[in-house]
Amino acid sequence: MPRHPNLRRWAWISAGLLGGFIALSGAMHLPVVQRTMGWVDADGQVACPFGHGATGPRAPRELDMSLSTAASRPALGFALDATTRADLDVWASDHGVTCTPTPRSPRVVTCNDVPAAALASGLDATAAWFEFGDQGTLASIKTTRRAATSAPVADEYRATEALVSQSAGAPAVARNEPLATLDRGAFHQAVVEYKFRDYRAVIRATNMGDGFMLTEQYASNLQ
Amino acid sequence: MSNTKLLFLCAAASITAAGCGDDEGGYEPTGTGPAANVLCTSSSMNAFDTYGADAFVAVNKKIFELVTAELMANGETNVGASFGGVADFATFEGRLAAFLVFVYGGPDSITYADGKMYQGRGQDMTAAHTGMGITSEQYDYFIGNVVVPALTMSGVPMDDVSSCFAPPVTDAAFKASIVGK
Repeated sequence: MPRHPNLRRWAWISAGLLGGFIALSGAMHLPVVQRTMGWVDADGQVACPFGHGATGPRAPRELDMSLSTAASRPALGFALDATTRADLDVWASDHGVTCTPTPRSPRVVTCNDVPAAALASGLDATAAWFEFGDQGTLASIKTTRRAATSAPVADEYRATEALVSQSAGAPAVARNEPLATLDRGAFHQAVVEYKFRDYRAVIRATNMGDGFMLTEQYASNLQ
Repeated sequence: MSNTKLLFLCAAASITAAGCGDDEGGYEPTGTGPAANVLCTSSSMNAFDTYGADAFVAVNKKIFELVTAELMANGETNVGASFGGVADFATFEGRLAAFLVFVYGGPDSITYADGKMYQGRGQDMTAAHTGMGITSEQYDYFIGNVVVPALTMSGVPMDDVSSCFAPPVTDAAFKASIVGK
């Protein structure tokens, strides 16, 4: 005859509950279960539903106080640190542009085949990437544009450089000589780079071998 | 055939061979990679034989420095999933260096800066990028904003960048092995 039947029963129940909890926890951490349940982190990776191991908001970028602030921060007609995803959707709708979240990078929206007019410029963009920060406002824009000949790319490079220099201030780096020799061979590249305390921009014109490419980057340093 | 005649023929053959060697065949690339016979304007040798292993390590490190800056700012969007999803960055760095050395006419394998040996020959780009969904725009962006700056920032003259570094990367078949997989 058992001496403490209640104690034994509770021990079995406790062991059963503990075992069930361990099994359930283990199952919840299986990638296939997390994927099925849609448990993903901010970067689109499967994740613990309780948030264990999740990364918090990004640490704010350390500002370089030796740099001056930009007079203004041009970004293809968008407002860094102000434009929201909803604003982008309106813009995309107005210009008939298709934008989609970027796999594995949900902070970034990818827009393909963007007409030049939508970016207040003279050359269509093959792709534009819009990155949004923790506050949901625009942190950066990057674009690629293509042309079969060097002239449209060189013209757009010059126009963009003039606009950014006029609006933001003088560039930190300007290697413009290759612009005149882009046709000379693959990977000939001109670059102009702007570095301010609150803003950075880089414009490159590159001979890609099978055509010419203009890339632009506009980014806030405040997030 | 008399010994005199034989000696004369041997001497003539040697002189001919030497002459040909001086004019055309004097340069023997170190390796046999796809760009082993793509010559730099500055040296009339391939990229590896012109710049050496140390320069390739320096360029490779600059690539990773620029990629890290991209990842910090943009997740993996602009450099594609090939860098963003890597768990073992150190091994990836060594493997890329070995691949570049092999492609540009260096030896089949190298001992990288971490002291480990990495094999360049035999790396399958298609298999390595399958499932990553890298787009043509991401590839272009990576070339224009990482590869070309890494070369020029490392001091490679523009004419050599163009003559002996660009061809393998701009090759349509090479791009096709990476994009859209």
